[in-house]
Amino acid sequence: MSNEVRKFVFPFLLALALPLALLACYLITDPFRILYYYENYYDQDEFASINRDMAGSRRLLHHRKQGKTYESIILGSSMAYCFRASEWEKYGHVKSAFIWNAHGESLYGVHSKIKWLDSTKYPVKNALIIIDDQMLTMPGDGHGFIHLKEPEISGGSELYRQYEGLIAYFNNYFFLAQFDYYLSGHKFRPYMKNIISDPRMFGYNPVTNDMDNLFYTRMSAEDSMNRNNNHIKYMKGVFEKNNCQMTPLKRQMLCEIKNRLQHMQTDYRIIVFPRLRHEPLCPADMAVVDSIFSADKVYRENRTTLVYDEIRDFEDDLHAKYYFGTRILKRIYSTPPMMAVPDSALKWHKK
Amino acid sequence: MLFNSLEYALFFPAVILLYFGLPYRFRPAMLLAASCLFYMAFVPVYILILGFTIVIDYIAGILIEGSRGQKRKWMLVLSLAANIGVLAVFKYYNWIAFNFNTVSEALHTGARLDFLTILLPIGLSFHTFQAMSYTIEVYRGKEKAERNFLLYSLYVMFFPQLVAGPIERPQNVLYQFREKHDFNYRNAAEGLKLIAWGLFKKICVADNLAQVVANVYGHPADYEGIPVLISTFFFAVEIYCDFSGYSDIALGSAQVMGFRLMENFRRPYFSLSVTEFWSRWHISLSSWFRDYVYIPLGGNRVSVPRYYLNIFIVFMLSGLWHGASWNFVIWGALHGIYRVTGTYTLKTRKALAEAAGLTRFPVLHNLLNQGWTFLLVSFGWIFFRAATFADAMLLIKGMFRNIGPQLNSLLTDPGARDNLIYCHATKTAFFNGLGCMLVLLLVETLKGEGSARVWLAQRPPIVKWGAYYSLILCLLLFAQQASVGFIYFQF
Repeated sequence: MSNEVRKFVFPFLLALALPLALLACYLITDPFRILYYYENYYDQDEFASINRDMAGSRRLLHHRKQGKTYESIILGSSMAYCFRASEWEKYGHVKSAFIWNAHGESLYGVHSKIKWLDSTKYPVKNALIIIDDQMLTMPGDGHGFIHLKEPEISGGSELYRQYEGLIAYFNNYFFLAQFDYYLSGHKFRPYMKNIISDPRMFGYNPVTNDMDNLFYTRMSAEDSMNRNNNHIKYMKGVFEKNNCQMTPLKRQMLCEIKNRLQHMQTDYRIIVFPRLRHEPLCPADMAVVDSIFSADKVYRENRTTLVYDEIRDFEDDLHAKYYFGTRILKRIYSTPPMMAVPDSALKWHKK
Repeated sequence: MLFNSLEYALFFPAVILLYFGLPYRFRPAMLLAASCLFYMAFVPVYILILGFTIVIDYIAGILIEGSRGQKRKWMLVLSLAANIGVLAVFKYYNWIAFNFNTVSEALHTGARLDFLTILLPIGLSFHTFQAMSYTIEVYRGKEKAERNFLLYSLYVMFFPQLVAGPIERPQNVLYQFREKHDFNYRNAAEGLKLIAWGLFKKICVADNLAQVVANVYGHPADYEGIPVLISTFFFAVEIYCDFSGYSDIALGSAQVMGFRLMENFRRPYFSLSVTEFWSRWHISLSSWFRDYVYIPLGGNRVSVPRYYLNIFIVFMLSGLWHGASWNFVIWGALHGIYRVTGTYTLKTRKALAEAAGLTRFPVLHNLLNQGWTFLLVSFGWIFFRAATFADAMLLIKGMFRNIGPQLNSLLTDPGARDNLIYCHATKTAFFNGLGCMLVLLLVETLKGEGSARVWLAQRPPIVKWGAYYSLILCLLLFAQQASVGFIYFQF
């Protein structure tokens, strides 16, 4: 080694010391729980946003390796939180239910999950698929570690997911907030809202993967009403339009989802679920969904009366509380498919 | 392959290790192979175009050197025609066809040119101009024709400056490929610092500000007043940081290997006039036009009207060099007008400043000149950044509209900030970009005409390493996380 190289090595390593030390912090703390397997992804030590798809998928895969399987599976985005596994078991007369949702779940995500279930001969007897306005927008894997699909299920790149996790760790807001959180002895300060999560605010069932935002669940009906009513007032009662998203590729994915569910002999329901401030999903897209799946499988919601009567059941524009989901389950499973009639609060349009 | 990508973070150390690990005689071939790989990471097939111009100019150089009189001139003309022909086909043909069809339609001639469905090869204008400077220098007898095809190819293709300059001259670079470079601590350390600073400009300043700019310039009909002013100011900073950041990384990458490339930027926004701005901004292109267009046209050794015409021609061509669009032509013409007017009114302005007593306060006088130059240049950037002439006019017309009510709503409605200040970009991008921009301004103000790296190297270790670690932390924490391409790649 020449003198020049020797002279270079020490300052170079000194310059690398800081990024390497931060990298070591990341490897040790694993804030997004992406590096290692955890029995409980949402325990009291967890404060960062977890990739919801990863948490559910790893749980499912881990169980599978131990020879355990779930009989009933709920697929969808975070909107699917309002459908609790225990409630589905009760009203849908299904056994061992598992909620396998993802942040902003895409059609690609649902498609790859069902493809995986079928190809690995996973014995799924029942399935609920919650379709929202986001689901039909993306035909491929998402961006950012929070939206990436579990590589073992989707066939994506594990290296890329790890890279995205590392990038997210160096987001300045997150980075500074997490150090503050650690150094202050796990004190959650107001500025940390929307950057990290207060772990005390989440209820989680590691067996069914159900998750509850206690902040919203504990909120009184009146507070919920005010919170969302303000939002509606701000929007001046004008609902956002859902643009049509269907493409030949997405149509093909939907067809394959149906074929694979039939192949697995799964009893499934599809629930179409727009946001609080959105109009119903694009009619042309819905016509495609209706034409692919049989008439008794698709349940659609009309938004018009909901915002005023049922607003108290929503956590925010996107997420309903669990008893809203429970009402839907009751409705689906207690009424013969062709006879489901909208009640005063919700209008359910059935094929 | 982008300098701000993970691929380059792996590619560059690999090239460095190979370069210093191989015997001297294999290094040019290795550098050429690495440069091909670097270029082919964009659109592989376009290496054939590059190969075509390299072969033409390599042969032309030898033929020019070996001939005399008219034949020599014709050899030069042919090689220039081949280079300009490539530019004309890939860069200008569709624009020419569009204009021809528009005129033809207006005149009802029925004649029509079909459009070509081709992509513009990355950095075409840069390497074509670099190749042309070689044949011109050989023609002028200032440079010997390069007999070694490999070295000539490397002159055109050397990866640090292949796609966005600096546009080098053969006298400055070719001989360096024959030199034996040993690993040198100073070169490596200085080169890496320059790369880090270039990355800071690109990913911490330019890419964050770009989010704000893109929203306004992407939807010019939706914005007026304050957002237009903010985004126009931000774009002036963005394009400087984007391009000078690229140049810093290029210079730094070359320096680690022991190569010296020409400086491309010298604090252009501290210029006291538009004339000075052009001696500090994209220096390699300005000097190219000076040496190969302006001086051959007669420069300033002609009549005054002809001198002004020469200036104007150079700026029009410079505008056209940037892109096949009327907006670039207008941008070039605008700078031509600035230059001509500036030269024409120089004596009057000096007399006015004297009469107003400004010359007794040189700091204030300089600040006013710098501010005015910055405003003129920023106004010109509107044409550079807007997608069409109509968009540019929309932004200019709306620039000062409704500012009073907007200021009022900012004071009364906190929700208005999202639209009026952040221009619907994320707050993270806005504040990261703004904060890093202030750091840049501080550094550029403090360093003056000297080098911040040299200044810092003379400080106590705690100050020096504090600054290095701060820069590293900024790169880790305040960078725009998605890899964003460089603006000048399109040229």
